[in-house]
Amino acid sequence: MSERRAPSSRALPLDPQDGGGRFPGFDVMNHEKHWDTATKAAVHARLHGQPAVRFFTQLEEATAKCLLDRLVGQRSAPGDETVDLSRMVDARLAENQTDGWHYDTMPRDSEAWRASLKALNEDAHDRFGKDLSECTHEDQCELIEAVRTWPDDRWHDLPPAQVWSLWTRYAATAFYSHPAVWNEIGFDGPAYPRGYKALGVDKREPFEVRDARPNDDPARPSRGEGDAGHDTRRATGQSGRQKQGGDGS
Amino acid sequence: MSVTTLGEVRERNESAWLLTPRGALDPTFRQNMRRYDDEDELDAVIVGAGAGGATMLQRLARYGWRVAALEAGPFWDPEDDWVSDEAASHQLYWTEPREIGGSDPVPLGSNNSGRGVGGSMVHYAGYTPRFHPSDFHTLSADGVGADWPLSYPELRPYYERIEEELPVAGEYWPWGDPHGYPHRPHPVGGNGEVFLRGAERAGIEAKVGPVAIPNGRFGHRPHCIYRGFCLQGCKVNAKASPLITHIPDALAHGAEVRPDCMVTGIEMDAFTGRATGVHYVRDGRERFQKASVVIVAGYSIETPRLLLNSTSPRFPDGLCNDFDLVGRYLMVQGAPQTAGRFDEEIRMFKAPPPEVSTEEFYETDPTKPYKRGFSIQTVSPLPITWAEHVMAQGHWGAEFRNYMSDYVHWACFGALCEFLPLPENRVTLAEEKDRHGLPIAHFAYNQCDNDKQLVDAATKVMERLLTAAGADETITIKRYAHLVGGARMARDEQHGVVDADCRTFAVPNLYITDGSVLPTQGSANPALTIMAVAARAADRLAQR
Repeated sequence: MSERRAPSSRALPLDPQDGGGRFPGFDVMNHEKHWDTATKAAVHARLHGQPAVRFFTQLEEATAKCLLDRLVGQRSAPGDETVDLSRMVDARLAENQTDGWHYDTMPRDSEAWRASLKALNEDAHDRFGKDLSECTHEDQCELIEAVRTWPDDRWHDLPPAQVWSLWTRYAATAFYSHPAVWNEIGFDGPAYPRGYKALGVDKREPFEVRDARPNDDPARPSRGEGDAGHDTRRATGQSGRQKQGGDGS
Repeated sequence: MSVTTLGEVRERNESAWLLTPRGALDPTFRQNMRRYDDEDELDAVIVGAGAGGATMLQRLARYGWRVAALEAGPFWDPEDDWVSDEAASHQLYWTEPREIGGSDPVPLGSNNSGRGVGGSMVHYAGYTPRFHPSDFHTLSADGVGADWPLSYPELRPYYERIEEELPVAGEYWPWGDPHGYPHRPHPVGGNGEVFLRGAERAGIEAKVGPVAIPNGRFGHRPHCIYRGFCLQGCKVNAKASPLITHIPDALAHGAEVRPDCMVTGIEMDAFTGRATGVHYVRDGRERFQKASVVIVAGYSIETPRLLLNSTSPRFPDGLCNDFDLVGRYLMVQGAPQTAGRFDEEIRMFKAPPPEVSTEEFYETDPTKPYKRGFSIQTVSPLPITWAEHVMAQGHWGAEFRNYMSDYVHWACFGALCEFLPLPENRVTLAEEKDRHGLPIAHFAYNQCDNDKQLVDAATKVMERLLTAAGADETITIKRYAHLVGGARMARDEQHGVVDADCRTFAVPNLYITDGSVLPTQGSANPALTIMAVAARAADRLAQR
């Protein structure tokens, strides 16, 4: 790297305890000049061309922002860099950029979003007497977790497993399409026409940054003790709501 | 090993030599493409320009037929239309409305449904294994599934030809009918290395390939740059799809590809009992293309839907549906993916997702309580898909994001489990209509016990491989892959919709040449078999 300009995608706030700072100095946008025109345009539109909110009502927007930020663990103070998830999801719904299919127990995505946001905000009123967006961070998380673990087939008038699937699919698609988020997971982003030369375990391209904390497996119970032995942890998930600890078989 | 020379392949299908030096379809080909009039009675009209439709188009054009393929999606220009980005590749998928249900609903869209010239092969991984000889008679051998009206030896020459035309790279293949590949195996990335390491330690045989990406000179096809975006459309034009492997030669032989045309119905002549052409919509206007032969290749959801929507006094319940078979016996493969965590950096997003496979567990093992089997392959989810893996474990919020920061340390394998064809797994018409006013497809799926046992067994093998390779944690997501069946071939009209030559039993000049005709699916990715079946059907039709 001869010239190093100021990073164009500033880092999102993320404590090292929560997985932040593993790839110090790595910035995907420094390599934009190696991308093809069509890809550059798509990423630029994502960063700088998000249209104003058109689909969500004001209350839906407030609820959606809260929900989406909580789902991906985004928490920012004034002045912090953020990924504007509610606008990204709003754009997809306004333009009907869905996957097309929907469960026969659910309405189409756009209606499902409206209905589920309304239901979630109703839960906030029932439980805490105010809109979701006015609740404390902890209370918001509690309300969301209640949907994930909802024991019945119906939550309000919707199937909770399918609602959880809808929410998490849209949240993950928006968040992990953002270069600032690629930076925190060490993903190189667009790779055409450059491609890769250093293939294989522990091989890195000259521009790739080594993980500063390679033993920092967030899921390893004895973090830092270093000896997992033969006790491989196993877990299985399906519709996106299960949470099973490793059975340590 | 193949003894066919490159010159002989070129003689048969010149596509790779007709591309520009960058491997793209020459724009003048599209400008100067032959364009038929709706009033022209074509020798054949083909619905869909994917694996089955494009192969038919090229073959029939070579036989001198006046033929056109009507494609619902666009005629892609990879350099300008596709991106090296996961979220922005949404346009490659069939995203018209569809309903899913049953006890085990199968999500559609990005995972299994294509749109545009090249079809789903634009965004398939690129794996092109053959079916095993046993796949063609699972009912008589194991009492499950169905027997094909076609045997493996009848299809073998077509497998060989398509493997040469894509072409396929891989090690000598010891499973099924052992065979070699025209191109040497590609080097592998971190994910493939973990697979090979785990397999060696676990005593499981694994091989590199088979992947439809040339590894050596092949016309003007560029070499792979190992960038890992195979599922987002290959901008490099290295990975094979009909857009570059069969369409160029078809156009050079006078075929027409008519993009952005949604076929809405097949017209029947009540007097002769023959199909007379297809109704389609282009630029919002309803049109009709006359043809002496109608060939449907819209894949397992849209082909049944088109037949069911094509009603007439003779076929009040849908075309070719006298025995209530249209839309039934649709199959997906159980495709759990298991990932393992390593302190080393795997960076599985580098190199193509399709690298290494094992078919050691493909056949029925008499010591097991289940019939048939599964294959295991490398898959390498990009961040958005990987986030779905992690969220499937129930993680969200700060915990989820922390988990995601660990991405470079994970290797990921996928299984393809042979789910059995069941009559209740089917496409029907829903109440809901699309913007053309046509009922949309409802797709119901239910797993049987054998299916579930295969998924569990495959998951255990993947855990074994990863643990042997040194993983200290594994996570599994249960999911599905591929679509076949829905208008299957059989010996007679009481068991299937088409015969071994893909001709419908009910209408003598109506053919179906896509994945929907497959009676069983094995544990193989279906693209190569769909193309081989179509290439054979073209020979049979032209020589009729």
